[in-house]
Amino acid sequence: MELIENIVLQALQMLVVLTLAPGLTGLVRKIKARLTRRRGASVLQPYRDLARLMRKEVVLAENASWLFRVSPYMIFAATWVAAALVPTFAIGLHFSWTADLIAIVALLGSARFFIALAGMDVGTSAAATHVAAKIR
Amino acid sequence: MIGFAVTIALCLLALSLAATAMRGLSMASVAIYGSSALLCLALVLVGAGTLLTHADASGMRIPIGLPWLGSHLHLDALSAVFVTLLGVGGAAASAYAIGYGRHEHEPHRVLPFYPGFLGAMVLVLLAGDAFTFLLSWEIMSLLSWALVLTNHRADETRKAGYLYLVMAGLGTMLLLLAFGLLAGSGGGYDFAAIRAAKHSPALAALVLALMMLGAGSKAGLVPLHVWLPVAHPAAPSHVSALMSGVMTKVAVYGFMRVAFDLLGPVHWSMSVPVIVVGALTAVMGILFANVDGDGKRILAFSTIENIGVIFTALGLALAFRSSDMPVLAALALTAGLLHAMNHMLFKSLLFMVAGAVLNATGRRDLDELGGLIHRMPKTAFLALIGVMAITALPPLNGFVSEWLLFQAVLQSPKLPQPGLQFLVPAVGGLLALAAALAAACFVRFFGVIFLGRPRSDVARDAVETDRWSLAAMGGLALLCVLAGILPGFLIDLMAPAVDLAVGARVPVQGGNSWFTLIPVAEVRSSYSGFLVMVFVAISGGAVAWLVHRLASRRLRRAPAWDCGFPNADPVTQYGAGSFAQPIRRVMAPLLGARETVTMPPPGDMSAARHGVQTEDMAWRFCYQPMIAAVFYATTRLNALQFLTIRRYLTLVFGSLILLLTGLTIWN
Repeated sequence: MELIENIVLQALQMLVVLTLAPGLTGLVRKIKARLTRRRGASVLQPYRDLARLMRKEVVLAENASWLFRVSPYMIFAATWVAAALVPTFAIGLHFSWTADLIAIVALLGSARFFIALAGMDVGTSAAATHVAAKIR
Repeated sequence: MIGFAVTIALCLLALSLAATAMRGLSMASVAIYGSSALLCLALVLVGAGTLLTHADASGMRIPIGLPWLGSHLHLDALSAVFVTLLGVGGAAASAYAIGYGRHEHEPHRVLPFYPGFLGAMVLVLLAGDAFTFLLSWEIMSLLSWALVLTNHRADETRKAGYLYLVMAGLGTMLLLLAFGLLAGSGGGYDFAAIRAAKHSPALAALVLALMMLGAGSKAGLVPLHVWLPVAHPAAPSHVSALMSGVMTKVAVYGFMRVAFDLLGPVHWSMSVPVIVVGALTAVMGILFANVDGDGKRILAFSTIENIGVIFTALGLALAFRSSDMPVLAALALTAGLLHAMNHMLFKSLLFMVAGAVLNATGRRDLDELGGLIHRMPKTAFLALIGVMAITALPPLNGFVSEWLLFQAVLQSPKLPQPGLQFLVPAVGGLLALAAALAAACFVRFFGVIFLGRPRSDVARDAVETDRWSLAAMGGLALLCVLAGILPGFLIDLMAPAVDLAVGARVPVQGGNSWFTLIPVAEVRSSYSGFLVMVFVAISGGAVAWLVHRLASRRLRRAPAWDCGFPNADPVTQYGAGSFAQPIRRVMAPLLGARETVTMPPPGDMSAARHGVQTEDMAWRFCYQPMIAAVFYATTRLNALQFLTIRRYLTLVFGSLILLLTGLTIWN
């Protein structure tokens, strides 16, 4: 019973993080815009962007391999798990003992790692240059 | 157990002799590698069996060798851990070689030495007296030297072989001195006698320094590493895997045997050089790996880094032990042993990948490869696992050992010595730097070889490697994943060895829920690779399913966006050199990198040239002065070649008196 409660709470926590994350991006953008005396897009804009992107087709470079298709999910999963390990509204969950701060850093590092590989996959100089700047 | 282990070692040595007899037989290669693989599997059974049954140390004495000593052989928990490591590494390398060996032009240059090399390594681990240890060590060095020289027609290889021989000779000489000091003038070369004897602090310091130099030269500690990045890649890839994955660990074993077992308790200040040299080795090794352009050499440099990490862990264990904190010492030592095991797994895997790529394309230079993920998808997948493991990404095995080491580093404020309290966090910073650089290095390694577009015709026409090689690599990759998600079992397995070395062990991990790793009760951190794996799999899978289910499933292939420069040549891709350049510039003084640009005079149409030279600083500051000193000494001593008989006799008599006086003073 306790285990089920734990799992439910953990899932709720993960969902809260997930649903709030685009809002936070929107908020940051809004504040940035206001600070530079622009009106800026609505706070909800990232949600709309995501919904739009979901409906769009996937465009793959001719040279892209399976790694390019898998990477986004790996990046997402690693970041999400890292976020799930940070307590937001519930503390003392069994799963918060899964890993510590070092592991969270390493999980975010994994996300970086896959971004870098995805950037190199297509084989154009521009993408890889950005990647190289990113991993340092 | 010991009898079984010795039999296996002798079988391996006998296999070497059989290989010389089987020269010319077509099936020789399969027979030799196949039986080596089986014997190595038997070794795993011996090693793991000894550890699992908590068997007491067992020893035996063979009446060969020095007449008053014989050969003592001895199998305890510490040996058993390394015997297991050797067995796994050897079995994988031998299975790989069954496929890889078919491509060999001159198999009889490898076959007679290969099983003997394995056998000699087993004997080093089983040695129960200094004589057997040094003899096996020297056989191991010589046979690996012969294996390095397999491709002896290349000029580079001959140079590498010479350098290796000199360094190996130097290393053995230093070990001989170390054991000589340990045994004392009484000549108690038996390990049991050495252990029982009392060693003064000054002598212990000297022995530890000699071991650092002797075993460190084999393991690749800076600045004794110069031979490693030339010799390891020169050998055939399965031998490179053994040398990097296993032989360096045998050197680590040698150091551990003396530092933790034979020497007894040492002063805390002895741990400082081990920690400092280990951390510097880690950073320097990975810096060089970041700027090198040769796939196998990158792996060899990364071996230097990992050896640095292992020695840092050993140094920390020495520090904790000398301050009477056995549990924390056990934590650091477990991290070191686990990292040794993990490094064997992923480094062997990556060397095999490099070998498969070398077979498929004939190229080692990263800038001539690219796009192999399309041509060699299975190898690429296994390489990705190896690369993720070596960059210490959770939930794979490299992360577990580095995590444990960081837990030990974070406990350093508990040490009573202010010096160490300052030093160890700084070392932790260096280790973090090394880990970050390793990530950059292996993104570059994997990205340039497997991703992008092929940079040469051979890379475009590469074909997937053979089944034996794939099976060996697959086995290692599986072990990397298993050791990452279930590290508790490995830690429990190693616990008797840790107990033997520092007199304590980390708590039993087997019963923890969700396979969580709880290293020490006082360390309030825990990590469960299993749960991280489950989390990543569930969240990644769920999202992939949702996106495919709910979102658009249309897919269009299109030419990659070329930033307005169409038909770009594949060589314009971001390559190995491009990744290396910023690091090389920033770290130029450390790496000894010089860039030269030669511009043609105005009006001349010839191309401008941009060249880069890197020079290992160890050469300039360590080896060149040493070589100069040796030359100076030999020219001076040359006069001794032209003496009269009277003077020779005087010389002999004088040196006899001198030595006897020295002996009297020492006693």
